Amino acid sequence: MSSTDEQKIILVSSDGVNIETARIIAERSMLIKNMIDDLGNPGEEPIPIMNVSEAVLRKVLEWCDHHKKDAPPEKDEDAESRKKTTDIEEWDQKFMQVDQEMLFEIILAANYMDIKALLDVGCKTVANMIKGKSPEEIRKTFNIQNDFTPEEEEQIRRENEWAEDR
Amino acid sequence: MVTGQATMHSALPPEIWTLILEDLPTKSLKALCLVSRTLQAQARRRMYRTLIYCDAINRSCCPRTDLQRIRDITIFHQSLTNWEGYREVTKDVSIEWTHGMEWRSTPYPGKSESEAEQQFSDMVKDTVVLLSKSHKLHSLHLGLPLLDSTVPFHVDRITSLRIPVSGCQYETDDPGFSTLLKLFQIPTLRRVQLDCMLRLCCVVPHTCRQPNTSNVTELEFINCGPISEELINLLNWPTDLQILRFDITYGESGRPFAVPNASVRSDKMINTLSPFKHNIQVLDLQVYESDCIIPDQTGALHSFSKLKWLRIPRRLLKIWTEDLELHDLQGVVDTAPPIETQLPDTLESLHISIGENFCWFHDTDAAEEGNSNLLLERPSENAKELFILLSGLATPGRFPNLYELWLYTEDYEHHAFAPEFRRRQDYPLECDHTRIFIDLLEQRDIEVYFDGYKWSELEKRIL
Repeated sequence: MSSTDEQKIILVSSDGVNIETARIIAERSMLIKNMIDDLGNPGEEPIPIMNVSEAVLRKVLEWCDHHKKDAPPEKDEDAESRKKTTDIEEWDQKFMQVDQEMLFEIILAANYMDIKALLDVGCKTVANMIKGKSPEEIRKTFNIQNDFTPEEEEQIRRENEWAEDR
Repeated sequence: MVTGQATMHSALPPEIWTLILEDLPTKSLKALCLVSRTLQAQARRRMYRTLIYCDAINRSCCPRTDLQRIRDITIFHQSLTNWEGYREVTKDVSIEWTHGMEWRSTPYPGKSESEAEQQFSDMVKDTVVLLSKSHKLHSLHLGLPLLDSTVPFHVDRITSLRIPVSGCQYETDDPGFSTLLKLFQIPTLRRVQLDCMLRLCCVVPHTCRQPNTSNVTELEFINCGPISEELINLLNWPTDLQILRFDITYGESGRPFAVPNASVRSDKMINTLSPFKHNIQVLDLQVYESDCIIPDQTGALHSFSKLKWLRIPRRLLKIWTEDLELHDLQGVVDTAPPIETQLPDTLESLHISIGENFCWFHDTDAAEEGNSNLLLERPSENAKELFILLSGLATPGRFPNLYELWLYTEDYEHHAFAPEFRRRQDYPLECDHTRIFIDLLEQRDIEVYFDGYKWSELEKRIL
């Protein structure tokens, strides 16, 4: 392991808590990686992560720690070539077994901190919560108010009947 | 910050929603459309990006009656006029309508549509005209119910057509070449699937011999018949034919559909294709030979100078002794020429149907003697020879772009089961010959797949 990998840095959560972590772990986040690259002298100054609270930041770092040895994200991977699958590896599935509020917070944090793989896992977890459910079941799962009239519902159902289920 | 009252769509911004919807099947998108207005807006944009409709029997969206079909498409047409947002999202459209029939029971040529069928086709036309106005449109595919359908001539921007050539089933001399030619000459058309062209030996009339008049680059024969040189007059229509596929579909009996028409004589095949050897990049020959003499075609593909993707039966690489048992043939080659003299160096992806009974076999004699420890997998002489031949793919300096080799135990005489339904001993997983072969290819960064799986994955799937 090189010295860069062992290097420690300090992150500051939105609620002002300092969290020490290894640079290699934190750099799963492109936001942090770019900040370190721009600022130079890593480890000297704490890095503020403005939009992420301590609890969420610790959870995100737990994920980064587990995935620190994964291949770095590919930069020019476009959305089209992305594999259409909702398969999630076992560790990630367990990691995402949190309450809905935390799940959404993790997704938002992954988006803000630019951790593509974590964002992907989060989105797939939500997608899996939707898959196979009826409209009513989706409403229940996510606590959503139905704002359609019965007539509107029937109209939409008919409009969409034409498209093939895939 | 999310509060207990927050609903899910207010907690996550639209760009995240876009990512979530990305992975969902149409069925879930349809459900989301009915959840709430906000979600409908999101899900509809995703759903309308790729629109697929097919009314052939047993398809999920096949309505039961003519009336229902017309009602559904009329409502869909209406929804497009009501919501022009589709113009900003609709990218790929595929509409195949058969008037509720099986693909193979295509009607007699010249048969016109019933009044209800005509009404439906007109509605399809109007709907496709609307969809073709999408600014994002990338592909527009139509599967026609009849060769004579006029819908394609009323729609701009068609990129792909599936056309039933039903005349071939009725032994007419001309299954409709003049209509076919007109369709091929639609300027935006790039891809054509010819369905049920069971007699590829029909004579193309002189008036229809118009080479280089079509922009089609991809041509596929589905349920095709025996190939003859006469086909050159059709393959000539496109100026730059890059992708060519011949496919045989299985009938219910497990035999290829329309036996013996689906058989192919490889001498005719190679002679027919060679005028296009400097254009073709993808060549799929899912064909088998039946009741005819197998001439030596080894090496015929070597001069295809742009070939990147190739699928062939093993017999195009070598004539095997077992293939000759049924044929009283003299003077055939004993040893296959090295593979690097048979296939072009430009290959990137190679697919070979080797046949179920051809690869490895079990020593059943030993098993019957009650000694199960002797139950070893070992290669047949044919299999050994095939693998020695294929190991030539790893020859240093040759096939520099080749990155995958797919082997299929299925071929068109032996319909093999999927790996999930097969036994361990059906595959030569532990055989040294196999390991050495795969190691050799992997050292050259060529992945080997067997019936669609890498070896490591295959092991997990079989019984």
